[in-house]
Amino acid sequence: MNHKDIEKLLSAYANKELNEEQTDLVEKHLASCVNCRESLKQFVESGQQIMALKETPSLPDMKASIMSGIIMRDVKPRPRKLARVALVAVPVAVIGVCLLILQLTGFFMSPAQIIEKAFAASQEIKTYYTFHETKMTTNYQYDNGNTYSRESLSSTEISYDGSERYHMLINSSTTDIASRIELISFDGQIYYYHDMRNLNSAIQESIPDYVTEDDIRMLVESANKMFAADNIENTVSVDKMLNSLTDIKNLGDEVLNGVKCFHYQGTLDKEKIIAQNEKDLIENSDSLSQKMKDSLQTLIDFFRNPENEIQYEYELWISKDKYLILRIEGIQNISSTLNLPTGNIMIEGSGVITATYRYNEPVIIQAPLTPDGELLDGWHIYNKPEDN
Amino acid sequence: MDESTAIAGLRAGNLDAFAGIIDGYQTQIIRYLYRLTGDLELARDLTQDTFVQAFESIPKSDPSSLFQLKPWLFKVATNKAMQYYRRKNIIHFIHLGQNHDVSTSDNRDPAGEIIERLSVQEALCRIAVQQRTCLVLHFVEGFRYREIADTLGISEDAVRMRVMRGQQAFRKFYSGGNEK
Repeated sequence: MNHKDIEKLLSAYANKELNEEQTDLVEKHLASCVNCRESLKQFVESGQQIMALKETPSLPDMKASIMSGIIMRDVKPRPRKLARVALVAVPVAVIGVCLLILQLTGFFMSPAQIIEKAFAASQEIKTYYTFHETKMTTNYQYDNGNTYSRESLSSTEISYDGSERYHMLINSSTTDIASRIELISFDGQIYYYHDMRNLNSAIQESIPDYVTEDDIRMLVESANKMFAADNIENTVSVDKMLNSLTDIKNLGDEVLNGVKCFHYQGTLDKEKIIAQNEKDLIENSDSLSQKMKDSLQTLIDFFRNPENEIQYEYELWISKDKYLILRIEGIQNISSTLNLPTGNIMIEGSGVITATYRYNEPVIIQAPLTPDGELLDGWHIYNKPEDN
Repeated sequence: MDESTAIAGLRAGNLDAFAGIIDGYQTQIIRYLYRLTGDLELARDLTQDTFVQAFESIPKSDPSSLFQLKPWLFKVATNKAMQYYRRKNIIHFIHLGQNHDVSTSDNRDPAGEIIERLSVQEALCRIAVQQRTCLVLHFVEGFRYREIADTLGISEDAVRMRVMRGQQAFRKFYSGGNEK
């Protein structure tokens, strides 16, 4: 065990939480390391300071209010609707891969029956529309105690008309910058648009456009995967809402826009998301671009890293007649530490997502061309890599 | 009334049994939530929610499996606090002035100690909530790491990491009474 490993054990040593073997190793190291002895002293001291909080001012006796609340309430369990539900912030390009999943607990019918109905229903889908919005707040905490907070908003709108035509519009913004990426697939041709706008008048210089050709390629790959002619049912069907959720609770039926829905709540099961993405990487190794593979690997590594804390919770509304997802609400909380040569930055992200879905409504996709067939301003034709 | 009797009583709808559970745990739960949030009023609301959930959920739990009340209650209390923060859509680092309850309600200590405790609570509230949870469970409520892991449903390694980072962060924020 080296110095860095011992450093990671000092706090637990101070708190008497190590086993005999670990304790011996730490004590041997301490005998010859002044820095670690100093760190240990600090851990002991901070522990004692926090322990002082055991003393509290006199706390109220809650018994009477709890008991009267229990006696007076209608104790019949009612569905508790979370004000918000958590949802993972995945890179935009893997939304198609990570459409989230629900394992139905089959309160009213068995999971197998529901899956069978869902699959049958998804075969009937012709057109598809979805709108996702994610609002994130990210807090950064630096070694010197400084903190910084940033809010960002992003939305993705996707329309698919049942043939090969689709339209994807992604907007994202922070306080300083707004960007837009748009894709249209129309009669065998793919068009794209992207720009980046400076929202902060205090910054005079122009903002470089960070979107690269690889990014566009990755988006096209995701979109093609979602809307390949024989794949739409995989994109939308509830049974693909795999068992990525755990602790699933049936919150009781609810009517959403006049449609009676199953209403479920669940927590993301990280191991299942990892397994799903690893399987995707292996099975599609030949067809995915390097950028997409890197992106998936980054996601897998992020989930695998035990130092990252990830908690996503979701609520889903699934129509009872069609077994199609109509709405998802989610909340995500992520903690991670960035280790840089200049110091560590602790990052805490909290996001809220809402997503709505519509099926088999008229969808009109148009190519971004003038009546004369010229490309509209800012639009480009996407050339597949083998065309270059 | 011992715990297993109280749980059996609660499953049978016995309100006295539930009152016994409140007696046994309300002080710990409200203290935990108070130190976690730094806000006594909030701690009261979350304590109420915790015990209401206990009343509703314990009777539905599997009677054949071993039900451990203490970790369950603390887990529910922690989740209530987390839900509160999620609804606020942000994880707070600090909110100065949250602790006025401490200074107004405790007039027994010399002024110096009150000021010191204000700083400790404020420093604690600056720490990320997931680390803060582990710090309060360990140092204030006396949970061992293994107990914290079982209560929160995380690994013992994760607990060790959160406590270590939490202590490091605390040290930076705590100035022994002087405002940073």
